[in-house]
Amino acid sequence: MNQQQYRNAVQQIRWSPQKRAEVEELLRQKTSASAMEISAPQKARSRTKIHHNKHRVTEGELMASKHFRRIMWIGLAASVLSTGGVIAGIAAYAKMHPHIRNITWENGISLNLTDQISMDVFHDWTTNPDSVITPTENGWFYRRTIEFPSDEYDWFPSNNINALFYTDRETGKSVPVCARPNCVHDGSEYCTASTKTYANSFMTYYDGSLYTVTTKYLHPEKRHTQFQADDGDPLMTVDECRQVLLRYSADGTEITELAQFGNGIGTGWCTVHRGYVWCIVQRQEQGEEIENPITHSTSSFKSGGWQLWGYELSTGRSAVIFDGMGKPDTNHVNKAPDALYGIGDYLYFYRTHDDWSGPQGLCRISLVTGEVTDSEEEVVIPGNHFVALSHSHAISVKDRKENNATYQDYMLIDLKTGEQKLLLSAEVYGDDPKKAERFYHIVTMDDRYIYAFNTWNSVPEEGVPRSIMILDYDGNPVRQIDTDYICRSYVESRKTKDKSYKSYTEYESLFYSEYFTPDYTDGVNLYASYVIYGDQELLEKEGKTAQNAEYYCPIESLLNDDHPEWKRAFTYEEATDDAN
Amino acid sequence: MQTENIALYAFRKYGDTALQAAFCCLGNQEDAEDVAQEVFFELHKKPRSFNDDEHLKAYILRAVINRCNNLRRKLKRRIRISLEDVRESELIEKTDSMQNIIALIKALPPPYNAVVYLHDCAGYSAREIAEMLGRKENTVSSQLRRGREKLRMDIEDAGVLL
Repeated sequence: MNQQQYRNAVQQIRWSPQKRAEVEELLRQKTSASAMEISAPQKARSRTKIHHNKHRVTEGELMASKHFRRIMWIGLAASVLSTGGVIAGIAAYAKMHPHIRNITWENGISLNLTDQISMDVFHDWTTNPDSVITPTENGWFYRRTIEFPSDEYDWFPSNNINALFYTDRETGKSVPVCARPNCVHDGSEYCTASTKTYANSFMTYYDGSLYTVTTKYLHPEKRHTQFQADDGDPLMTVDECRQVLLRYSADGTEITELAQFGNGIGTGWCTVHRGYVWCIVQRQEQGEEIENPITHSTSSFKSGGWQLWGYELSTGRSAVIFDGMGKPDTNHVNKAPDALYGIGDYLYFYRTHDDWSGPQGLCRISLVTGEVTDSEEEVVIPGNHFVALSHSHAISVKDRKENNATYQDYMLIDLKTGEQKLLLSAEVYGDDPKKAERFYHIVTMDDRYIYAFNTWNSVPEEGVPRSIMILDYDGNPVRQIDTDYICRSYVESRKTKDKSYKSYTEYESLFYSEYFTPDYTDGVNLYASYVIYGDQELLEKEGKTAQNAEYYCPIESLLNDDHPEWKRAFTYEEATDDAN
Repeated sequence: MQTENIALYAFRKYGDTALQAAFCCLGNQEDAEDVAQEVFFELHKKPRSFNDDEHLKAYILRAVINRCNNLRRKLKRRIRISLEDVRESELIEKTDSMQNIIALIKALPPPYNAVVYLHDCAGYSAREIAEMLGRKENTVSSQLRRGREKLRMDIEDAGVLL
């Protein structure tokens, strides 16, 4: 399957001649009202897209906000005293006894590398890209949407504010990361949790602060480069936005702009490692208009490769340490690498290709020599799907077909030697496509173990209990845990009762789905998303409430307890004041 | 360039595109037709001006996807059809592999369906999709990668010959 085959398949979907004629006939009526000119002069028309003050802070939120700073400071003080596991202990030791190596590359780039190591190596940045979780010693930072009502929804309805929240692990309370009094968290410049001056982006937590590479909008009313929110709404140009490195204080008191990486939209990655905040940013400029060969649209918002920046925490100095290029895709965009991990003396990132074969190469740059392996021939893991990373190994998966069956071979790669060995081979499709064969899918790893969960080709209506398998680095099962969480989805068809919903058939389908899916570990806990959704009628029948929540279970409990207890960390829909 | 009836013009030019987008988002032909025609009826009722055809197309797609999201929210249901249901659908009865692929496209859940459609069929870049859907570009890239992977795996699982 490739892009062209997908496109060919979708293009088979067309209006039937009869239906097309019906719609055209309806559209022909009252043509005078519909007569409009294309390329008509744009009429300036302002429309307030954000309804300010519709969300008033509640007394509970205000109290939580006041307590938040105190809780955070107590939490941070406690973090100094606690080890927080092997990695945190090493990091704390390195922080207390900094050893600085002065490195100069052949091209003259000079670095002052400390012993500090990255804390977010295990983090799969793309597990839940809409609401990336950033674990800390005492809780989690995450993004959650605050919905603001909108009367119009057919064009840009973005009245929703994406705000930064913190959940305290002990209390289960969630609060916006904003300590400013009387703030309603409505996207104003005043709010540190939801300001629209800066775009949302992935974050990394280090030493009481959150770091992110993101976009600073010089004119926040201009948020779009091509698609106008309404007639006459101004479009943003490259020089009206900046790619910046931000530091959010974890207590919600301030946002500090640490460095600027040039014009354009900041959609990069960052990680804190060896005394630097390392940032991948895409170079952008206003160029000549180039046509997209598929849409035939033109754009002058161009990217020309990517850059790796280093921001030295001790001095506040920043500099480009590597200029990268890449193959332009159909939109003439040289896509920057995905994700960034600091491991030992290397920074790792991975490249994807703009086709359906999906090979990914895990690449790296040596902080000691500046040597880079980022070409297809030289990548650490060529031609496979990258799955997970630890401080010493990586896991990739590749498909194999043999005797009419399809297998997924999970490979463990030693990052020092490059040695690969088969970790797990899962038969995902055999001779009988209907069989509900259970196989395991590896999802994440830490420095000790590898985590997999059961999956299947077809699920019976009564569902399948989610099972988690913990493997050692030799591929031997250490523990298998059958959870109480059932995974299933089903559809029920019936005659339509809702007369307000126009349908061409008198039947409608009701849907129910419930999935508990482990997604990543921070080396201390294993996290899982627990999503329940469906028609209210079926939810009531099942005795469940719709939710989209993140759960966690300590790894030690998974290893040792007869019945490990999963707790709800937070939910993406609403503040979890009543969590657990 | 002037057109007598912008909604009719849009339907004739982008009617199939709108239907395809709605189908990929909802996985249901009838719902897709409902949503797609409502967009053109709304444009017919409240005509507006566009810079060019590309602006018109972007508007139509954005409106379709928003309405698909609204429909799911309104009905409190997300139409995510399992592979098993798809296999038993009317489309799968046809032996043509293209129809099988279409059936599997129906099973691709949100938010991957819209992203994969907009990138690989409508031809928009990740940044343009991010603007259209109000998401981060990195989010779109991740969803595109995961959506493609899921679709590819589904196709292999179903044993569809390409």
